[in-house]
Amino acid sequence: MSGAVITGDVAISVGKRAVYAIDLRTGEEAWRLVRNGGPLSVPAVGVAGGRQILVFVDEAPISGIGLVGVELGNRRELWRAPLGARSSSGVSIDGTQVFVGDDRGRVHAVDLRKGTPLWTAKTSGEILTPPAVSDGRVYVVSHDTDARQSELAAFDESTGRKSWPAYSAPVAGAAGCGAAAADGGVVAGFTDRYVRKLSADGGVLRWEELALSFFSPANMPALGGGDVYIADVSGGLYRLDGETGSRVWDYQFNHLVVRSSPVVSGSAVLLGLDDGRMVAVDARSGELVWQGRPGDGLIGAVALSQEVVVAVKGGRQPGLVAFVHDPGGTLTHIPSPTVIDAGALLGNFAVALAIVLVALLVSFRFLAPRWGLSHVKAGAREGGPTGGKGVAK
Amino acid sequence: MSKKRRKGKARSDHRPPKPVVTTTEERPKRSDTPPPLGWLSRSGDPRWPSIPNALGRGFVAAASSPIVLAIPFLFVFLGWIALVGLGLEGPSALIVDLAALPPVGTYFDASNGITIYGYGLPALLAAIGFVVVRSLFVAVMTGLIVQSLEGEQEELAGVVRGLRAYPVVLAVNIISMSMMLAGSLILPYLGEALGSLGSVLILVAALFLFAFTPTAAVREREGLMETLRRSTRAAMMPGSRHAIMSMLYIFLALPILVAFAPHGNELTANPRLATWIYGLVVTFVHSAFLAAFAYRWMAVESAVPDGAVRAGGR
Repeated sequence: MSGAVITGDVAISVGKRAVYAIDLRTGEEAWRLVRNGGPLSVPAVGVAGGRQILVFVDEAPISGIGLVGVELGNRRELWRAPLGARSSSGVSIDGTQVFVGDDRGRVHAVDLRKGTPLWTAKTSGEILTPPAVSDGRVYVVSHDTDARQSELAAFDESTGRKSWPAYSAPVAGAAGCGAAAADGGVVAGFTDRYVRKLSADGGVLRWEELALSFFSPANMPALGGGDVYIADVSGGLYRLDGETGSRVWDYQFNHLVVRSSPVVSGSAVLLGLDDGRMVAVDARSGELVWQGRPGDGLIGAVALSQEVVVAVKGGRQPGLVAFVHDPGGTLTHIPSPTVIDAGALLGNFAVALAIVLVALLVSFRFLAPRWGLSHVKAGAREGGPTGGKGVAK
Repeated sequence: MSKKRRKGKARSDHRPPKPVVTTTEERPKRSDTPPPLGWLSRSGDPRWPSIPNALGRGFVAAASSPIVLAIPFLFVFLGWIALVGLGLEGPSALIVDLAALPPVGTYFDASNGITIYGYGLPALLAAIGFVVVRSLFVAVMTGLIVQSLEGEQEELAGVVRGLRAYPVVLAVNIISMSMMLAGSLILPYLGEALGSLGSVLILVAALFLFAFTPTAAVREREGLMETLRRSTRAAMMPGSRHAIMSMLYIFLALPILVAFAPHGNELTANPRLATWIYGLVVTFVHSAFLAAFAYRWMAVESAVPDGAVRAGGR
């Protein structure tokens, strides 16, 4: 199933043959809409003319792949807007405009009320994350795997005109993540492991900060309290100062993060790991405050409601999984393993040193007479070196 | 004897006396002829200790005293703390190659610089800083091991001899790093597969050419150019099997020993006990290889030709 969008008391997720609404309290199916097929991408819900409209991608047999607008109140299909290419980016809605990217690198803007196309713009490669919309601009990260390049492009929200030349990392590669935008800036993780913030007007580099690993093209940064939260593919979660980009903290989970982006929930940052754990890190201290149990499939995109946290789950029984606050539970305060623990570091080394020193000294004291002495003089006796100091003696 | 060789009279007391088997001119004719199958030949030059023999002696020399054993271990521990303190967040398997011989160690210095500072000048400066420290370690260890191979017990004298050789060792390591840097600029144009192969070949070539240089610098106390000339000539001598030994070390140190590190993929500042034990044992293996290269050099140093060596089995 795709990542969920929460509206009212249901979580809506796109499945292979249907769109499912799951009751947040019970976890039971509230309703479903038949779907023809196509990639599983995150749907979106917007409001136009007093109606709540659900928008998702569907691949119909005749009209082909396109966006579908459904009125949530009566679950009646309002419109279909053909895209002309597969789309796995997920949908974004800003006001009455719907934005989606496709695998051929095109960004589509569609009217939420009637599904009429507003504009289409071209980027360099496939788009795998929902467009970010802020300050009258639409930001898209595209990946060209043949040319080994990913770039961040900005378009005027109303016209689709390019706002500034696309920005790409100085190092070749297509492993950049999606973008998040707010307050006159846009942030993305690039293929050279740098997280960069560009200004909304002009695409000027504001700051850059190095992460430990690459970024999954399916993930995105999160913005909260003026700061940036981003996860790299090897399981590093970073909080970066929104003004300067300097690293406030980072937590290394030592498990892949391929299909989950950080989500800020109150004082915690939530993240799904590929080992099936949902984890929460204190946004202030950077310490792990709670974690779920590892499972047989990854935890993917996370969505929040007032009461529950809903995440996509992979594995043998894929679907949605919800987490609720446990009033009886206690929070942990576990620092990142990359923070030096003097006791553990020194203790482990000292014990290892003692074991290895004793083992080697004892065994070579025993072996040396059998193998012969190490020095050249001894070697010469055994047909070894001839020119050493020992020979002269 | 050439003019340059006469300069050898000014060498230190540690310079070996008139060798039993000396220059190429005095060698039997058979030695001048490279084995017919080159380095595929089963019969190498008998003046060179065989690889197993050299490694056996290397292991014994590397374990010859608690100090020779402990210095690399402490270097690994302090190096790890320094790297973590500088901001390195890397897999704990990194400790396996912290005391690796150049150019493998130099390769890790460069990659650690990039991991901490990203691509650019700060990473290059950091890598040079790491190489400066590594060269000091290699020079001191070479001094101690040469001292041990000579049957001398005075470790302080070994340290002093190593320190005297430091400028040459540093220069050679900078050359190795420059080779890798040049490779990293050129090789991407050859494509992924050829580029990777090329970068491994650069490492093998750097080790092949410079493996004897620290020992030559400690033993002969010549200038950089003369030390380089003699140590590379030794590497090029027919029947040495030096290319095989260089490849053996590169393939052991780079992919194999790192791959087997327990919990080696964990990003942590506090490696587990098993990782430390494994890391220290592998560090001992690095010391043994250093000693084995030193032993082989000492075996043939008096037979290193003054002129250029003809191509043949290496």
